[in-house]
Amino acid sequence: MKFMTDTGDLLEAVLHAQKAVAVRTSMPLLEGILLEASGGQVRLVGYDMEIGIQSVIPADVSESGAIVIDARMLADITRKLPDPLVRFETVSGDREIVQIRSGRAFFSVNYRAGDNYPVLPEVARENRLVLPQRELQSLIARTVFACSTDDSRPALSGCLLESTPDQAEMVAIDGFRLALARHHRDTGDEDSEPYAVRSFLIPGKALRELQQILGDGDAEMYTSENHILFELGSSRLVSRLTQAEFLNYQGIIPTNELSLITVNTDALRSTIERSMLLLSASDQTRSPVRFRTHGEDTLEVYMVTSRGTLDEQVKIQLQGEDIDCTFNPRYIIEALRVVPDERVEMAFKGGVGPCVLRPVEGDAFAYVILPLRT
Amino acid sequence: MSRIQKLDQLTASRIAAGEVVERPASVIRELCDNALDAGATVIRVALEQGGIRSIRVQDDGRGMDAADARLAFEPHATSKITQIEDLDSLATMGFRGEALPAIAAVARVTLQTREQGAAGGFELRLTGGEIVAERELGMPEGTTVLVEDLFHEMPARFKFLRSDRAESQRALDAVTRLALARPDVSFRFDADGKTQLHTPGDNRLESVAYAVYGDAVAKRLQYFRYDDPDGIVQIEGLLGEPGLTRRSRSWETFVINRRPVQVPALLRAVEDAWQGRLMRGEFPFALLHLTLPPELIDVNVHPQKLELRFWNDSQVYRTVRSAVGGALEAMTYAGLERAAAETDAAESDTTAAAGTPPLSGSPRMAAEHGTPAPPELPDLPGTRSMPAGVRSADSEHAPLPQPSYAPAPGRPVQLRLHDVVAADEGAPADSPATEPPTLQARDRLLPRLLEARFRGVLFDTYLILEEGDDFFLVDQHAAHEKILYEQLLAAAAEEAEEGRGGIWIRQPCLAPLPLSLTAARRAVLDARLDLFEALGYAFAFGPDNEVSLSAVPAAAVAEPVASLLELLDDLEEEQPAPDTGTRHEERLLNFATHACKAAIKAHDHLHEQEVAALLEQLVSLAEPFQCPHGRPILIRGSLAELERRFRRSV
Repeated sequence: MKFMTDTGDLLEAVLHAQKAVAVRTSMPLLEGILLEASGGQVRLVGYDMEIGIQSVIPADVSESGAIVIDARMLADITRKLPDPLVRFETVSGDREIVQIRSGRAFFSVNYRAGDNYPVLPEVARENRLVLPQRELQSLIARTVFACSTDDSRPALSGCLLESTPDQAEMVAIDGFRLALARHHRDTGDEDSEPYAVRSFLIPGKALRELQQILGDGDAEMYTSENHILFELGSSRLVSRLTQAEFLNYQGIIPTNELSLITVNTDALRSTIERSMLLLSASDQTRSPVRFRTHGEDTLEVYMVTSRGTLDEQVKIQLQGEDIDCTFNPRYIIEALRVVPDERVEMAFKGGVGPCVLRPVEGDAFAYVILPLRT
Repeated sequence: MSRIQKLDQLTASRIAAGEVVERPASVIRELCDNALDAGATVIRVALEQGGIRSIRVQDDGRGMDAADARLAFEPHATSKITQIEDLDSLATMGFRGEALPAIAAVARVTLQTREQGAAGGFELRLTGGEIVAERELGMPEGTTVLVEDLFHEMPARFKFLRSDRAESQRALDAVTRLALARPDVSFRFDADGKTQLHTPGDNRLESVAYAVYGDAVAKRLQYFRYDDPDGIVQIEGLLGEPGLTRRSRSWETFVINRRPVQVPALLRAVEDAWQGRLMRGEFPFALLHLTLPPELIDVNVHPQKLELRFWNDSQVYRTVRSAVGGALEAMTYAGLERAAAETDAAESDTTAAAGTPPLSGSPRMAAEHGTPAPPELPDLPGTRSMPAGVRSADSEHAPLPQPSYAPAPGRPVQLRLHDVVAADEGAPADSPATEPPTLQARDRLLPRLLEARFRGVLFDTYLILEEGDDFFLVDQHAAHEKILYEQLLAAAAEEAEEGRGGIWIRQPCLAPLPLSLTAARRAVLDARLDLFEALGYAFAFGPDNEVSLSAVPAAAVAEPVASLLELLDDLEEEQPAPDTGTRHEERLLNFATHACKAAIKAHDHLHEQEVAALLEQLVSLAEPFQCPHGRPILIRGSLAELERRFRRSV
């Protein structure tokens, strides 16, 4: 195998593929990145048998071939290469050595033959859905944090992506909270085509990786019975689909609140962040933050832990009944960190009923949590 | 012809005998009971062929005159009670008056007895329950019963006997239990001419334990005593060091008013007191003597008298648990002080504990020691008392009291006992008997740890400390785990005091989380529902055995289902315990796993300052010597021990 390519292109492709490389595996081959050179391009692949990421870069290929190089070393080497161009050439001999030259740097490193590297699952170009990558990225960012990381409950560890001609929604529920993000198609744009009607349940883990390689342009999605393929121009990501029934979430989002507070997003977020400074590692999940309103314009945020207390008053507007309830502070802060809007409202149904956090304007986001009980 | 006939006397006796006399061991138990009731101080039991050929039980008790001897073989003849009310204040072993006739119905029996002060003895021979010969003879005071050819006329029963050896072992077990219950009586047990057990009868529990379990076990036992302030209930006994365990309960023996008993509440109390000190599947050594007013217990439940109903299981449970817990705490510190000097001995202990059952170890012991000690039967060789070298934790302790309860007229004993036990619950460790060793050992050891110089780390896991002529090894993971665990306990206590709810706050589920439970897990859940709800779980039960979670403890939101299943599996392997819903510690134990996860791992590298901080925190703990799972945190060794190993000194 012998090729020459642009160092910058190579680095981006390596970093993408590396995200899907297995961390702990009994197959040493999976700890590396596959480089497959042929016909004017090099294909780079990382695959941990759950998620596969492939990037293709243009190259001057003088001899085709496929090799696997340790992912971490390849990324480190590529990052430090001195010249904008890099050449790869395998040497015939007793040992499997590939030479990497860039400027005056000349590496000779071990590789493994790429013949046995597992093939990414084939996904036929069916069940197509196209969304702008930026919108898809925003949908993921606003929901994936609410996925469960407990793999024993697949329906709760994935996000549901549902599209209708003029909108796309993504929903995550980990059992204790629900995050829903919505995107409306820009119907004023003549070039924008109505979305296909689709519903996919995608593992949270795949979405976390996808989120980091999304850029500009469109994302094309295709599904087979068991897999979903994201085509992102020069990169693609393949993942298993979650085979489980998603919860019927429509009924979970409450309506007809008893109280409604409106608050500046940054103000509330920084208050909660201050309260969480009192948490020690062992407190993380069990010291609640208390919300109590005083009159129509003050919310008292109160936190007690073994290390100390915080008592802070936040300016709000309250409509309806007074509020006094406690929350897992982590659940509140995670939502406040992903809301882009300047002001949010929180709708309450008493001290133990579900609470909805949403932007004051529009329906692009909704987040439901239940207060803690003692 | 009528199908129903009245049974003749012999057949009826044989059927009744089946209830009393199952095998040689039960014959021995009945005869020994009679001997004890006759005030014997020495009892000798001898078997041939597992007791099937012959059983001989000889005592130095009061004996009988000829008339009483004949009457003793009439059904329901007893000297011990005359009317049913007497059962309430019975302090003797046997009382049903059926032992001798029952035995006589199934074997050939020879009774020789000489009443105290009488000029001579008297012999009766019985076959098939009938007296076939009588004669006078010269003999020492006391009674000897010879039982031959047991069950030889009852093929059905005979068939159920095991091998000679197995029957002999059961018989030895029965005598052992009696010996453990009566340290004031010298028991000797011979099988086919070999002495297998011989206790000195010096009224010291340590001596009996030494005779029964051997030197290796006995020197790792600690005497303790607990008196409730009103003197109504009294507990004393021997407890094993925390490392002295077995995979079965055969080292747990309970004696109430000098009667060996099996009471599940006592097992639970003792094992719960050990909580946090035992690995799963291990059982401790405990020999407990409880002394209670006899009217508070009911022994007339089963002819074998093994089981016993208490006036209140749960109060007994609490008293015993707090008494044993206090004693254990005291021992842990004392044990650490001593551990270094006994490493070699401990090695041989381990072999004994792992390899040989405790009872079969006794013949060896019996052969090794032969110091004569009174009292004696004329034809018995010397018994041994405890050698001087064997440690006695509290050599000043009083001998066992004779239970001589007379119910005081009009005194509501039962109610008072209730009050005492309840009042005692709060401060189990404050028992005056256990406090001094606790403070002394702890105060001696802990400051030394702080003074110790840090010498390095073995295997990135064990911290090496040197102080004076001793060195200490500290398991860094276990130490940190215990620190976190005690912090968690303290936080929980504080939160509970402030009414904050703390650990036990619940996070309700947005939608019920369905659980698919195996039948075993489901059974545990049903049985311990109150415990799970106290922890913060809430469940919804649907048709067709469906269960779903509707709330989980706030601390468990990351893996709500997995954490629940783990708990269910833990509990499945555990013994059921009483009062589960209110047992605070039990909940906390379940969070010990949580502490474990946050703790420094075995192979994390620690800097010297971190080591110092770790030790400082460790020393300030309430119980710094064992991790929440019962493993030791600290091992002590000495220069002398190393010098011995390197042959620098002898």
